[in-house]
Amino acid sequence: MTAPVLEIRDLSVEVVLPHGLLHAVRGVSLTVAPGESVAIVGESGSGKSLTLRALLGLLSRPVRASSGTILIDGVDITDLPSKQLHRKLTDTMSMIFQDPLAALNPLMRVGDQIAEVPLRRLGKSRAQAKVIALDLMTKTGLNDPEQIYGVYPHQLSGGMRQRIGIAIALSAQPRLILADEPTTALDVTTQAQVLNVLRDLQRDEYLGLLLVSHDLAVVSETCSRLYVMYGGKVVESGPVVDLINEPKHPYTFALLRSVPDPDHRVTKLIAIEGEPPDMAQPLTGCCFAPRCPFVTEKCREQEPPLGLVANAAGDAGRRSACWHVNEAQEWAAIVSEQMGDARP
Amino acid sequence: MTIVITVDPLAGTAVPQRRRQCRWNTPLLAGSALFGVIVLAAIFAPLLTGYDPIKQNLGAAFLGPGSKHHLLGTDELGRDILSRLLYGARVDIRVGVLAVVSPLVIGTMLGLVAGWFGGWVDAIIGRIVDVFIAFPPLVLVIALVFAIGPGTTSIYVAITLVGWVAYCRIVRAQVLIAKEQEYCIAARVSGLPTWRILLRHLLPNVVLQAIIYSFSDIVLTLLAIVTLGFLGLGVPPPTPDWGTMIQEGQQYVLTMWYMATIPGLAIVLTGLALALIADGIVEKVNP
Amino acid sequence: MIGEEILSVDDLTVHFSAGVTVTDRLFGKKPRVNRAVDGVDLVLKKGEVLGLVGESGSGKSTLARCIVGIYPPTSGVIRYGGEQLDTNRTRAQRTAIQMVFQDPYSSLNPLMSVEQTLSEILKYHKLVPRNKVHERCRELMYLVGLPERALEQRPRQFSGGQRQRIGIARTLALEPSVLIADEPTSALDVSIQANIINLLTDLQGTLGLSMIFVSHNMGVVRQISDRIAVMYRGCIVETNETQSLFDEPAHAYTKLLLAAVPRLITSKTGSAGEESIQR
Repeated sequence: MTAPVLEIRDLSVEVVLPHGLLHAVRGVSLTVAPGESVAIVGESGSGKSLTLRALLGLLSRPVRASSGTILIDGVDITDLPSKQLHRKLTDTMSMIFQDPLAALNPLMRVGDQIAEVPLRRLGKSRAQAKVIALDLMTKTGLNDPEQIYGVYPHQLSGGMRQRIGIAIALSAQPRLILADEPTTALDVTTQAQVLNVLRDLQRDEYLGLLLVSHDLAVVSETCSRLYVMYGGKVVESGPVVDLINEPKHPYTFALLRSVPDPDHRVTKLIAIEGEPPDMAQPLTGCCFAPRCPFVTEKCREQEPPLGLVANAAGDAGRRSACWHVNEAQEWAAIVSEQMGDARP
Repeated sequence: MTIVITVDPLAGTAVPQRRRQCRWNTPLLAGSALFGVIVLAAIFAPLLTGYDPIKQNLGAAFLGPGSKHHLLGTDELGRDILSRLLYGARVDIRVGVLAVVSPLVIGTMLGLVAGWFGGWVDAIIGRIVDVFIAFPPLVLVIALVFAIGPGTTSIYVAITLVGWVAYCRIVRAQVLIAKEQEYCIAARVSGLPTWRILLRHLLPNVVLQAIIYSFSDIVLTLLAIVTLGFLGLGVPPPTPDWGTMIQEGQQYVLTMWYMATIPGLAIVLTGLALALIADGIVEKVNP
Repeated sequence: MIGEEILSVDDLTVHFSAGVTVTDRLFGKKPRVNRAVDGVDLVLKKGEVLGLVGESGSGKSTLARCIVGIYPPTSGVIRYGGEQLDTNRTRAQRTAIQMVFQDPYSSLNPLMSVEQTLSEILKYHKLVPRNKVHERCRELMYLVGLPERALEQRPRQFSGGQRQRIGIARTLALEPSVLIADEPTSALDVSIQANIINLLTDLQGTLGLSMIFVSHNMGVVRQISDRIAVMYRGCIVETNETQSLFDEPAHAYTKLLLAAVPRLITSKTGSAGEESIQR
């Protein structure tokens, strides 16, 4: 079995504040196989964006990665000297950001921005770099790349800017693309187009994709595997379709029920009461306990480990951090009773 | 298995205690302490020095600092410099602080109105602002005091006429941002009268920048008053005033250096104290 | 129970002109016109929830704000209870149509406590006698699911979802009969959105409010609306009952919109992205 392109073990990120430490990411581990599309789903405060940024060394004081190991192609690179580490990371991975306008240099023509990496880092000549840039622009679905090449970012629409952002990410010839909520700032129709581009590229170029999002529907259409984050930790992981059909963690379960489905109307949505946890306080017990509809005393006292679970599909890769994972089948019944929910 | 549905909706929303600890920061503390000392020295001047600042004693003229009876020496008319410094502080600091109040109030009001109503109101106020900005402020103040005639009232009038402009611009800029905030739109939608929205909702939220600026403005006003005194247009003699002291000591600066330097130092220290306070406020608001 | 028409909009246009200075006008240069709302007809029935969907630039927010009275219409008529609304509305007309805003972080005055915000409105409009103001504030908190002690706190002590509830309480203080909700859940976390949607649905039911719910999220709109109007570039392209709109969209843009909405894939065979949108 080939080694995963990327593996993170036990990553922790903290923020140094004047009055204490904020543990934004607490011991997160994940893997991405070559050509695989993996998603991290969570809400604000779950630590998902920081996990991504920690990978490329994009954290700046007072935020810092306090522990963790990074492996690329199975080789531990955490202790490499920082220049080599940076080189190895940026050779393998590229990033797409949420706000396409902020991610582009407003004073530089978009074509030049795409050509920059081939020109400066990959040693191509100006003419070669331009050809590469035009080619990438076509790949991301921009019609008439010759004309768009000389244009400035503010002259383009949001969807086109994001395609330029994808082209820039591709110009470094990465094997894995990190995408931090790439379509959240876009309209629904534009979002569909950009997601199509990502899917096609991923399939045609055998690119890995690590997508961070809060939108389960987007994730289910784009990725094959999923990590659910809450309170700075991974609370559930596994193949996307299995997770959606049979959630094994109350947070995933509640999240799926609280998001309205454009194809069905329900009598009442499940609302998760309370608020995400205060990350500056140390956690006792399960991080979701204060808001969990199925909580018991044990949950409050002891933190459940992220353990392998069996599920109907028989997949080996399902994990969940819940003491009551064996009672998952009953959750739907219990809640339906309470809510009069028509959905199975 | 029981389902726990009731969760305290306000769990975790009380302001954590730790935020309340950082009320005072270094610049604010240092600046307030220094300014406090200066103000107290001015107030308690009669207790700190036995000499009448106006009374002349030609026999004891030109004594240097550290002399037996005069801590900071005497000037050319034998007047004790320390007492002139302390009584002068009263005049300068009082006029400096008070002179800033009316530009602050007038400028803020005009800025509020210009920013909120826009249109021709904003255009007219804007053009008036442009006219005033075209002149170097200190020159304008001097010209006005000269035209009106020296004295503290003319100083107040001149500084007000020249100083309101900066406050107007600062507040107008803040209002342009704040009026698009949804709480202002909500106030309009809920039918509250305009004067109430301006005073109750808008003003407290936009005035901070103006107040921070006013501290620097006191320093500038102080310098203006001192300059006026230096030019003989300030507080009429024989009332002690730092500017007049510098002007009187000017001729002797190579020999009796202390006559001009000591009031100069006092101005620097006061300016420093106020600047520190302003910095401290800024730091408190934007940590 | 849905009754007869309570609010109607007739050929409404809202045009913004920009980009000319005084000197340009002297030379007769025409300003750029942004036709945010370009001829809209709309009807809202009593007790109904009308969803208004569209993407950015469709004009839905401008339309909503014009109905509430923030922007004056360039032409066209808005009628409430059969009476035409002028640019200067009467107090009764003003309080009858109210808005819930999108951004919970800027929709409350940061320097005023919750009780101050609510009581200011109650006192100015003399909605309750002075000695009953505090009690009414408590009632409003109860209506939106917040405890009484929230009254003494300031906005910065609350989370986004809680601030949104306070914003709803402020709107309810005026006892409106028409509520215009301008993307009230778009700035909230996913798990909190359901809270607010449920709250609005409950309030609409118990208080008999008529609501226009503006959103770009088709799932949310489907959940809450009785009827839906689809907006594109300042015009309404289709209006229909919710179920019918989703089952049989008539206009090309509606079809495009519905096809573009991401959906939860629940079976392994359902491959994603088969309905590729034309680039």
